[in-house]
Amino acid sequence: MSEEKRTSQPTQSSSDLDDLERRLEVARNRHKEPDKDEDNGGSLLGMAWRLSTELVVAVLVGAGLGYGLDYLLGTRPWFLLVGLGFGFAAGVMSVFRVAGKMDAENAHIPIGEDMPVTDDDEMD
Amino acid sequence: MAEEKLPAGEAAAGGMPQFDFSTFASQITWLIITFGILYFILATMILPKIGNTISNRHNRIADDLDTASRMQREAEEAEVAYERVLADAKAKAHNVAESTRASINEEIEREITAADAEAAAQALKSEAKIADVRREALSNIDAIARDAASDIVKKFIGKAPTAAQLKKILGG
Amino acid sequence: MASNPMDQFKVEPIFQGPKIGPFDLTFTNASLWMVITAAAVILFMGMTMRGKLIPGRLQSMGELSYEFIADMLKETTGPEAVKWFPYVFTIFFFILFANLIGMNPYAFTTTSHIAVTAALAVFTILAVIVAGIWKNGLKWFKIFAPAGLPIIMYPIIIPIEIISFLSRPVTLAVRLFANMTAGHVMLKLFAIFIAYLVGKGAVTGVAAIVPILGTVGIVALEFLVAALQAFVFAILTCVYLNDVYHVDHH
Repeated sequence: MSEEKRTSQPTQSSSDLDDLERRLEVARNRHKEPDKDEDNGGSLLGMAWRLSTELVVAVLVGAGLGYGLDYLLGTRPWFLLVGLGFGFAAGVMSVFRVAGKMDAENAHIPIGEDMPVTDDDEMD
Repeated sequence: MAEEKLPAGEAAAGGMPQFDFSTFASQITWLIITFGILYFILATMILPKIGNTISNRHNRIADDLDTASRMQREAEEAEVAYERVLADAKAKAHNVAESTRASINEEIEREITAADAEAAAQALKSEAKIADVRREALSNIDAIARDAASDIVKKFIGKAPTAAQLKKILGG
Repeated sequence: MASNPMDQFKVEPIFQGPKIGPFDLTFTNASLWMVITAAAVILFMGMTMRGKLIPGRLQSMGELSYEFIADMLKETTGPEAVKWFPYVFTIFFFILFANLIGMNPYAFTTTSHIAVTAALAVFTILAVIVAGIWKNGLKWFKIFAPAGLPIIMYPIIIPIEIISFLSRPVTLAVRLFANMTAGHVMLKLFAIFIAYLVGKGAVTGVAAIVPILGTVGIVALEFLVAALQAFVFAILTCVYLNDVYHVDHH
């Protein structure tokens, strides 16, 4: 009887220790950097708004650069036309790039730069 | 509201103060001033302090966790040591009991042997004594028988027989 | 309330200031609200800066904002970009507070002006160019010439890449400006409509409940947009900062 009592003591304390170990592990994990798994949900309309902005802005920037060159070189309208062409190409490319990013859930943009759906109705 | 859908169109009509270029210089100047001051104060005073607080806490928590782990390890070691000591003690106790039992057994054995030997010696002695007693008793019986016979003869014939006669009668 | 929905964007001088080169120190209502925005950010962050080991609610807010921006920068640009942290933090909070303060009907929304949003975008893109050249030297210009393409493609690709690069600050500026302007125009139009209905008499006054409900919805939405646009501007700043550190990955 007395022997039983004696052996039960260490098992008791070791289960306490196991418990402590478990709690420590939990605390340590909590303290570590949390895993990031943000999903890449963007509304379709938000995406469309963003893509069209990219396209329009690229065309405008291309045209602006061309216009500037024309102004400097006195070649109007040739660089303006070339700039429009390149601007359109750049726009299409960045649209593909952004769409690809949205598609591939690229890690670089954790949350899509989407606008709320209703926002699109307000402006075009 | 359809006419409001195209702010750019309004700008062309001159309706948007945002495209009043005369205000741009002032806006940008004041943006640089306010943004610059804000950046300076945040970067040099406020953010480092918040960062310090956070990293202090981080370190403190990490330290506490380390301490807790170390203590846990120590507790585990103590437990192992305790169990080892316990096992040793048990083994020792077992040995002591075993050797005690062995020595006691030996003693009992020895005592029993001794007792047996004594008993045997006693028995031999007793036997010899009994034999003596019996022999003595037997020899006494002859005398008693002779006396009794002589008495009986005397009663019948009024005269005690002689020793030779008695010997003849009794065949002894 | 003014009847023209565009009047809320008017920049009016409070007192004249000197012009120094391209700078104009004239103090306008826009300047006033920029000062208020910066002061509000400083006040907020200063109040949350308690430095206690166990944070209270206010301090937690400050620390959460700190970690929010720090995580965003670390994830988007990488751990080597920490020195940009104060800049991204300032960008985010300046825009956030300007947007939120602008929700007050009597306040001026500084971020609804293209001059301000464009200047903020130019800060970012200039910072990228300067830091990129500072760190990588002339190799930085490789971001305009993607690796693995035949040389013949370069005359086509390089102008396209330059245009894409220059489009970034423009989209950045236009997005913020357009969102803030559109939201405020909407709100103002609703307000004018409500005032009109109520002014016409009892029957139409009851009908004003519809645009009032609409206004409440738009106000809620605008708060969301205010925060979202600050976030978008800050995270795109982080994305563009990639070009300082990851020249070859372009």
